[in-house]
Amino acid sequence: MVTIDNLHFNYSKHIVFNDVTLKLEAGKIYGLLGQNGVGKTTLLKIISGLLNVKSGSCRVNGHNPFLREPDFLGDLFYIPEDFIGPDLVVNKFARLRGEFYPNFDYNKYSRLMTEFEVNGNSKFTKLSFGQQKKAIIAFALSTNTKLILMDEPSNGLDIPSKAQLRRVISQASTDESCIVISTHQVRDLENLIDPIIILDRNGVLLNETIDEISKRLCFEFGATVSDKAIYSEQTIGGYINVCRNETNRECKINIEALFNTVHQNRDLIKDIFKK
Amino acid sequence: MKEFFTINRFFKLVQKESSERFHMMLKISAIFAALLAGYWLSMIVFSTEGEITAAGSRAGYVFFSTLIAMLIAPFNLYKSYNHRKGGIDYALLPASVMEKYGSMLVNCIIFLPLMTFVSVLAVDTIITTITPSLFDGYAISNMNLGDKLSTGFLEAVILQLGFIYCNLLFRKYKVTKTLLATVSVYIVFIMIVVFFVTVVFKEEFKMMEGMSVNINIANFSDLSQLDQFEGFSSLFKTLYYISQTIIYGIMPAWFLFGSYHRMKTLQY
Repeated sequence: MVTIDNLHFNYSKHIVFNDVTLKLEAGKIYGLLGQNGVGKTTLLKIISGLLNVKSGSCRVNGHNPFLREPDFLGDLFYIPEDFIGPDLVVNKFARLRGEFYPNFDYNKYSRLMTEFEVNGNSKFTKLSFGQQKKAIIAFALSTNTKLILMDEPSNGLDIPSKAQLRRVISQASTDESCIVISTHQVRDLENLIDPIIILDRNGVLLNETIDEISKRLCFEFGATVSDKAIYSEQTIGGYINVCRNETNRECKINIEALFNTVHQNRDLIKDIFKK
Repeated sequence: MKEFFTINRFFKLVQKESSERFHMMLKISAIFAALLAGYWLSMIVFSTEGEITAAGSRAGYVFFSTLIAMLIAPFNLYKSYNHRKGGIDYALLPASVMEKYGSMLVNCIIFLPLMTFVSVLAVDTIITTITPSLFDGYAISNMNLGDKLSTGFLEAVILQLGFIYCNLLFRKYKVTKTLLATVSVYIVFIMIVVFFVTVVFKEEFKMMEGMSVNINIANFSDLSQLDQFEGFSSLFKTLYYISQTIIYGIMPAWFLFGSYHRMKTLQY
């Protein structure tokens, strides 16, 4: 679906990506994680054609995204972190804009709006930030595009909406579609995102499925720091220890601990996940 | 070709764009119409007996308000097109850049000016009908809709194309920068003309001393009257044709291509 080869990107003197290679496949919901300023939004903007690569290449279903051809745009939806809705009634916006997406389903849109409890007869400008976000997410999922890019979709959503968001995203995922979610709020989207991509300054630290991660790493809760731990962090009542999974037993991944482990043990993690 | 332009998608886009911007267009045309209505009310309250407002002046106001509506159109209807956040929605709409640019031109050059023209004219017709004693006829019956209007409209469109280009070029302080750019281009143009008049064609102008020429210039194109006058050197006439080529050919082409290219290569 998305093929990025030897990507270089910089904002004047600030290098964001240096020789990044990445592949995103259909049928998956990718979680894009990284510290502030590592280029999560930049990567989404490059994939959606809002930014042009400095060198290297990015192809989405064979298209060069930056050409922003209608066929390419009709199969992609990008939800920015700070969505600014137009001064327009939400349902009218959906009707007018939906015309441009070949697979747009107005009934699905209405259903999602009802599920999110957003009044589609209001203007965007009359809705709260969270409601605007829910409205654009409902619209995005109703376009049935093959590639959906979401930048911090759970920001601004209340607690029930976060659960609804998880539900509607998992329902929207198909074998033909690819969803990429950039987020800091990993707990909001735990049990949803798989594979996980962790970005670091200048590149990709990790791009693995949950299954692969749990085969290689084990996340254990204990009263003390384990000798075998490659990373441990104190939590209420004890420690989370991240160790190599040497016994091949199944264990649940703690994404926050994974993120910190990867960041503190870059070379070791690369070694562990070497194929 | 399908990626470049399809008529069906273009019409859908024009429909979407104009309905999204209808309120803004209505607001702008209502402001110009309200100004005329306000003038009418002040006439009722303050005018002395027998004082009338000529239909020609009101026709002039109709054209003036249409021109102003044309010039402010890009900044009001498409101000967020190149905004790093606000423009994303439009940039990622599944339509080609040619269709988006075409739709922008339709709204800025045709829809908004037409709405302003019609609404101001409608108000003039209504107020003249209600209080005929304050006006000497309808503005619509005093409009010269001939060649002069079409040339004036063409020149307004060229200026507007420049404003559309500036609206896409500048991300911040669009209006101020556009006005400064317009003034700068005007000053450069005048400096070139002065240079030719005082240096290159100095002798020709000396020879013209005492020659009486009456040229009525309302539009730039009226300078074509120069052809009728003996005494102007062919070089001087060539200069006129060069400037005409620049103003009616190169500048609009530059604005059109520049705007298209800017839209095509804008990064957010």
